[in-house]
Formats: sequence, structure tokens, C-alpha cells
Amino acid sequence: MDVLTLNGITKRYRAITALNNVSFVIPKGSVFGILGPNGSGKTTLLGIVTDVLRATSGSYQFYDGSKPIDEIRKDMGVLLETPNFYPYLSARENLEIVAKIKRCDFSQIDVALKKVNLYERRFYWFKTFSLGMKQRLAIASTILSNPEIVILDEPTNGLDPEGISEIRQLIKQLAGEGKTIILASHLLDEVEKVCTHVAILKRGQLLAVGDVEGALSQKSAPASESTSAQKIKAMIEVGADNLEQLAEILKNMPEVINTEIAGGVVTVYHYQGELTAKQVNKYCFENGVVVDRLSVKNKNLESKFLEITK
Amino acid sequence: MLRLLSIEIIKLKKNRQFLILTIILILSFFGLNYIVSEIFTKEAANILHISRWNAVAFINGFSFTIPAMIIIMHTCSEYTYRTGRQNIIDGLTRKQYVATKFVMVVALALFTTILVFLFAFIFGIFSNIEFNFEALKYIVYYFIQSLVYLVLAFTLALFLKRAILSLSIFIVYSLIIDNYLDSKFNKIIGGLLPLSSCDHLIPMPFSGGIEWLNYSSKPEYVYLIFTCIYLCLFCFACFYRYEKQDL
Repeated sequence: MDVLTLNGITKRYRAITALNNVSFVIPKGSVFGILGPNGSGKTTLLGIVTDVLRATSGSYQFYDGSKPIDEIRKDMGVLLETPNFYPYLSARENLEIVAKIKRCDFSQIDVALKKVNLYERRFYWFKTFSLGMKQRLAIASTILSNPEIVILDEPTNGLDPEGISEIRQLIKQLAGEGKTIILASHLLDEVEKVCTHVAILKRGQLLAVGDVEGALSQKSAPASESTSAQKIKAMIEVGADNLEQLAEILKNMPEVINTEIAGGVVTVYHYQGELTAKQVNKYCFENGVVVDRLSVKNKNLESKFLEITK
Repeated sequence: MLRLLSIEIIKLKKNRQFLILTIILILSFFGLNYIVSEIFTKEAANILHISRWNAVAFINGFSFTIPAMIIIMHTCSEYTYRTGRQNIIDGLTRKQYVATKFVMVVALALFTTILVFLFAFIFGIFSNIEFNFEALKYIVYYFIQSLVYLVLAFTLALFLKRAILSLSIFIVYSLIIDNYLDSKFNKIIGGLLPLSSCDHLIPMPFSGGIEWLNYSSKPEYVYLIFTCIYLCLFCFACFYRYEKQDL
């Protein structure tokens, strides 16, 4: 079943077309990444489905469209752009407002605050919070009502590395509970690590959509692409005592497209699926070089992303 | 609705700006009514033949700036902090949001009316003038007047989103423009502007020879009808605007 169906959503702000005829479906239980550079229309899209922006044309529906949208919105956890709370109220009071709007029990508030490590600060004013803490509070508010659909727009904004990894854990945990998660981000890494599906937007155009594997090998991407460009470039980093010698040897490997010496390693470019670290290691050893470092860089999404949004 | 109002109460009970303005509001109404009781001496009452309630309602009719400030501050801060938008994201409908604000406006109009009534009552009891509850209709009219002024303030705030801008326009319009147009073009529009139509419900008590102003006064029901029309227009405009706009 599909959680959300978008039909030709277009949004214009005077001269700018923020979204141009965007249609796709979000399947239930998926972790759906919406990917795009800054200003590509990610937030506009999420603003429309959360009812704060009015689409110029097009429509959307949740599930089969039979349940009133206002009811469904109460059962959604949404973090859109920046955390918006009353600065002169404490974390707890701010969540009391959310709990009242969503008609959920006040006992949920402490549970949510504990989940994001803000329990000790629950009686502090929101305006005394750091950016990361504000973001945590926003996340607490999205999971407050134990929603079926979670919309997260740049959820790791302003968080420290620990916070970022906690958010990833949280997303995985929510996905494990069967929730549908819609995640907008310009951080490919973030999307790649947690998403099952992805939609790529650029200047309001939908460029690719599907499950992560599918979207990557999609042939519907820009028409200028030749068949060889359809193959995805991948990288392996190799280190040895003599980098020049190593690079020379590796260049002779048939599968290798190009090599590059930078940052104390040789980066080997090849097409995905044609070369493994094992092969590289074996080849170097046979040619008298002992490798002291070998790491596979899976740059799938990034290369595809850059390719598509070029 | 009770749930929605309890949300407003959480928002306001810790809002210092709101609390301070409320205290100033009470003090200013106290002061104003003290002045009324000073002016409204036995002699004055005998000469003018008017009711204390009329005088009280008229004088207090100049004091809507502070309650309007409360409304404008509360409405605009929801824009500034983007919390109104957040309320919608969290699941309120836009209609619910505007309706709640309207209930707050009515509540504040009621609050000012109760204040005026209480102060007039207290000063009336302690004065040496005969005190009665005749002409209490002026307190009802005062409530209507208060409601119109505050609904106008709310409409300005909802449309303009900027507190200082809304407040400036409110003050200039309510104190100057509306009164000026009303007296200048009295023959044409006959006191039927948004604010003057409710102002005329409460006649000027101290003017003795009002003839020189050359006012063409209409029956009360005309003013009441126009007041209702304006209230409905403002309400409709607010709901329509909030329903359509991007937050």
C-alpha cells in the first residue's frame, strides 16, 4: 500500500517555479529519501503535504484518500526546516502544546524527552538551548505521538557527530517498527546510510525516483547520457610505500579507468562491479608491491547524484 | 474548543510581555475611570443630564490601544517565531487556529468590559451622586465597540504579520483617520465607517452643543447593523486569508 501519492504537484512563487509537475508515490514502511541540492524544492514539497504551503496545481493524498487529511496530519510526526517553539516556554511546556494538538497523553512527553537526551533540561527555556538541543527537541516533538508517518527535513542539522549517529539509529529503529519515514536531505551520506527509496529533485524537477538500487541504475536520467556513462564509477583507495610505482602498476590493470595520487593514497577509479579489492591486492602482490592500505569507497549515490543534477 | 483554548492558555500564562501588558491594561483602566469619577461630579451630572454609564463608556472608548497591543503582539509573535505555522504542521487546521484567536479576541473584549463595569461600579458606589443601573445598555455597547476595535487589530496583525506596522496603522487609523473621515464626510458616509459606526452607539456625553459639529445622527439600530456587517467582513477576511496563504 502507498502512504502518500503525489499527482503533478506544481508550486510557483511569482517568477520562480519551486516545483514543476512532481509525481511519485511513497510506499508504506519505506525510508524515503528526498534528495537535492539547496533550493531544489525539498522543503516546498514537504510544506505542501503538511498543509503549510498551498500548491499552485496538482494534488496529493494519504493512503487511499478515504480518511480526512486533518485526521492523518495529527498522526504524523513532522520536522520541517528549523525547530519552531515558543522561546519563553520550557521544553516540557512546548511539548505540552504539541501533545494537546495531537491529542496524545502527557506521559509521552517525558518518554520522548528521554529518547533525545533532553530530560534533564526539560524545565529550561527553549531560548536557552543550543542549536543541537533545539533540533533534539524538534525530534522529540516529531516522535511524541508515536506517529505512523515521520517527515524529517534535514534532521541532522546542527547536531554533533554523536547526535547524527543517534538520529540514524532512531530512523532505523522507527523503520524497524514499520513506520514510514520521509527524509529530505542534501547529505548523500545520510540518505545512503538509511534510505530504502529515493527521489532526486533539482530546481523543482523530479530527476529520478525509485528504490535506492533502482533509482541509481535508472535509464530515464538525462538524455545526453551515453551507455558507458550509465555505468557507475566507483573508487578503491590503495596505499603502499612507493605511491608513484603503485599508480603505474595499477594503471596497467584492464579494469582500471584512471588513477590519482592524493592524500597519501592512490585512488583507483573503475566501473562498479568490475573490480574488487581482492583483485587489486592480488594484482599488486603479483607485480611486487605490498599494499599497506586498501579501502573500497562506495560513492554510488554521490556520483549518481552529481551526474544527474549536473 | 476547550482543548484549543487550553493551548492558548499554555502559550500566554508564561508570556511576560502579555502579563506586563495585562497589568498595564488594568492600571490604565483604573486611572481612566478615576478621571471619569473626578469629572463626573454632581454639578456636571445635573447640567448634562446624562447617565454615568454613558460617560464611562465614552471615555473608555479611547483606551483600546493597550488591549489592541495585546492582540497584535500575540498574533504577530506566532508569525515571528513561526509557531503558528508549527501548530498547523502539528495538526491544527487553519480554521481551528483562526477560530481560537477569535475566541481570545472576544475574551479580551469581555475582559475590558468587565473591568470598565467594575471600576465604574466601585467609583459610582463611593461617589456622592445617586447611582443606579439605568442606561446599562451603554456597557453592552461598550463591549460591542471593544470587540470591533480588537477584531480590527487582529485583522491588521493577521494580514500584515508585523507587530509595529500593525500597531502603528491601528493607532493612526483608530485615533485619527476614522474620526477625521467621519467628521469631514459626515453628510456622505454618515458615521458608517468601521469604527465610527460603533463609536456612535455611545453618544458624546460632554458636548452640550453638539449641533455645531453638524452631525447627522441615525437611529441606533442602523449603527448596530453596520457594526455587525463590519464584524462579519473582518471575520470572513481573516478566515479566507489564513486559509489561502502560505505560512
